[in-house]
Amino acid sequence: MPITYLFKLPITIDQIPQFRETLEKRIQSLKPRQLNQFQVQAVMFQATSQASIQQFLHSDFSSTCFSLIEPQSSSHETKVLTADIGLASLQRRILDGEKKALQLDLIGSAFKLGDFYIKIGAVTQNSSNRGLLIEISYCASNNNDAYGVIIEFVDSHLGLSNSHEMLTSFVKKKQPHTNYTPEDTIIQYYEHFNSMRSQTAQIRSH
Amino acid sequence: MSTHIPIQNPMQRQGPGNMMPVQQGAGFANQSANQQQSTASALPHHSSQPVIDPDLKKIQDMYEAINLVENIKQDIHAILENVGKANSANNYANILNINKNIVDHQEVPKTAPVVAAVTGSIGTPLSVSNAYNQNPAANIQAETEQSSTNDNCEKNQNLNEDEAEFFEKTDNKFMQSKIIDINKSINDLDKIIKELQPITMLIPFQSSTPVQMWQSDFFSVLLDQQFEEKTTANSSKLLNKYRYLSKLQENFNLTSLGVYKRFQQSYSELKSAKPKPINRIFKKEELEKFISNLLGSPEFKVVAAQKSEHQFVLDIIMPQNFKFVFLFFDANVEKLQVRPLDSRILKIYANNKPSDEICFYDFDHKNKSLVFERLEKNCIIAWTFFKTEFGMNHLKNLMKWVKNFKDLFNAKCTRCEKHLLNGLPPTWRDLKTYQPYHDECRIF
Repeated sequence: MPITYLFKLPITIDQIPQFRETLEKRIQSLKPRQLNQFQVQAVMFQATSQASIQQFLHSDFSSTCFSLIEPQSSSHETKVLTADIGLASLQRRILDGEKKALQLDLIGSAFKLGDFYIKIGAVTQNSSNRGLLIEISYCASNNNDAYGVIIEFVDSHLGLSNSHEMLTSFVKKKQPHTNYTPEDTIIQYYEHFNSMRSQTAQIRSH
Repeated sequence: MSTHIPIQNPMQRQGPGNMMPVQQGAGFANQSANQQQSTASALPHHSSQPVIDPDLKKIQDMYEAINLVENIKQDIHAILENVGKANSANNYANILNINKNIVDHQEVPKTAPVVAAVTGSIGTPLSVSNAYNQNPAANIQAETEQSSTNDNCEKNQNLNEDEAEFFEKTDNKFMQSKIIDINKSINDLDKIIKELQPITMLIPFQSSTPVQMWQSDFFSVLLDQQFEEKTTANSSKLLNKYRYLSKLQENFNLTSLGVYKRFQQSYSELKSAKPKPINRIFKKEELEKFISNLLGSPEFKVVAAQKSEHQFVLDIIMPQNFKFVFLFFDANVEKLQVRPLDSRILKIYANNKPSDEICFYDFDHKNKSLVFERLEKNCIIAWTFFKTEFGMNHLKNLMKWVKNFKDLFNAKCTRCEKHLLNGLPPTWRDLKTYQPYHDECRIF
C-alpha cells in the first residue's frame, strides 16, 4: 500500500471551482498520465447513543467497505472495520436514517506523475460545495519515511506553501517507521470531513 | 600450413639493456629492418646519456616491459605453431647427409619418374620420406627439360633450404632455446615490474586531475596493439600502453599456467597486506551470519536460501521496506536486484522462519517504480567498481556501501540539499564518503 497524504486547501467555498481549475492546469503542464475519475462517499449513521457509525466507500478499494466508530475522546485511537462491500448494504438497511443530510461525496480527477499519484476532488453535500481535497500517493514507499519527499513535491510541483498545516493531526502524530495501511487513508478522510461538517454547522448557526 | 613467422635471433632482439625508445625511434614492428642501425645509433647515446627524469624513466621502463611481453608472445606463437610437427634431430641430420652425398655424386638418369610431392616449396614429413626413399635426382631431371643446369642446382638447394628451415623450426633443441628465451624475458620483466610503481599522469585534454587506474576503460584495450615508430611521449599513447599492461595482468589471472603466476596480483594487492582468502561457504546460515556481521546493524534483516550446491539467494531487507536481492555463486556476487517489499510479507519474515520459496531471484522482474529502477542501476555500477578495485574482497566494501541506503527517502542531497530532483530522491551514495547525491548532482 503506497503512502497517501490528504491535503485540505484553506480556501473559501466560492474559490473552489476556480482554484480547482488552476491546479489541474498546473498539473497538466507537467504532462502526467491521466487516470480514471475517483470517488469517495461517506455516510454517517446516528445510533441511539451519542456514538455514530461512519461508512466510507472508496473507488480505489472497490470491493471494500470501511466502517468507523467515532472515538469518545481525542486520546482514544480511531478504530476502522475493514469488510466486504456487502456490509455497506447491510448497514444501510439496519441503520436506516436521515442519509441524505449526513452524506458527503467527493468526486475528482486522478493523475500519475512519475512515482506520484495525484487526485484532486471537491467535497459536496447535497450538491453544494464544501471544500477541496488533494490526495497524494507515493508508490515507492509504504511507510512514513517518505513524508519529506511528499511535502517537497507538493511545495515544488503544486506550488502550495505551508503544506504541513493542510495535513490532519493524525498524520502529524505518526511515527516515521510505521507502516502505512488503507485504514490510515480513511481516517484522514474522516478527520477532514468532520472539520467540513463543523464548518457548515457554524455557517448555519450564523 | 599456417603463416610463416620470421625466426629472429634472440641476441639481435631489443633486450632491456638496449631499450631507449624515446631516443632510438625504432618501432618494434620494424625491428628486423632497423636493428643494426638502431643499435649503432643507440651506443653513442648511451655513453653521453644525461640524467633521466624519474617519471620519464618509469615510462621508458614501461616500454621495455611491453616490448618484452611482445617478444614472449612471439616466442609462444612460434612454439605453438611448430610443436607436434617436430621431427627428431637424428632424422634431420641423416637426411641432410644423404642429400649432400647425392648432390656430390650427381648422376642424371634419362628415364626417371617424377615425384610431384617433392616439388612443393614447403617440406613435409611425407616429402622428406619420399626424398629419402627415392632418388632426388629424378626431380632434377624433370626440371632440366625446361631450364638450365645452373637453375636446377639452385632449385635443388632451395628445396633443401626449405626443408632445412622446416626442420630447424621443429627441432627440439630450437624449442628448448625458445623456452629459455621466454624464461629470460620473464625474469627481466619481473625485475622491471617490481621497480615500477603506478604513475599518475596529467591528461591536458581531459582535466587537470590525475588519472586513477580504476577510471581507465579496460575494455577498450586490445592485446595485439601495434607500436608506432615515432615514440614521442604523447599522453594518450602513454595511457594506452599503461592500460595494456594492466589488461595483460588481468588476462594472466585467467590462466592457470605456473609461469604466469607471479602476475596474478594487481598493484594494489601487492602493496597492501595479503588478503585472507574467503572460505567456501557451505550453508546458508553461515552466509547469513557472514553478511549480517559485515552490515553490523540489527535493523537490516538478512535472509538466505540455497538454490543449488553453489548458488545462494540473499535478501537484505532495509528498514524503509525495500530489499536488495543478491544471487551468489559461493562467495561471489553474480547478479543483483532491488525490489519493493510489501508490509504483509514482512509479517511472514517476522513470525515464521522463511522458507526457500519466499527468498528467490526473479529473472523477469522489472521495477514499476522509477526509484528502484534507478537504484538498481546505481548498485550495479558500484558493484563493478568494487569488483575491479578490490577483486576478491569486494563483498565487504559493497555491504558497507549498500547499508547507507537505510535513509533512501529521508535523505537530502548533499549538493542541492533537496529531497527530490526530477521526481527522484538521492539514489546515489558516494563510493568513498557514502554521502547521498542525486544522479545529476553527483561529482565524478
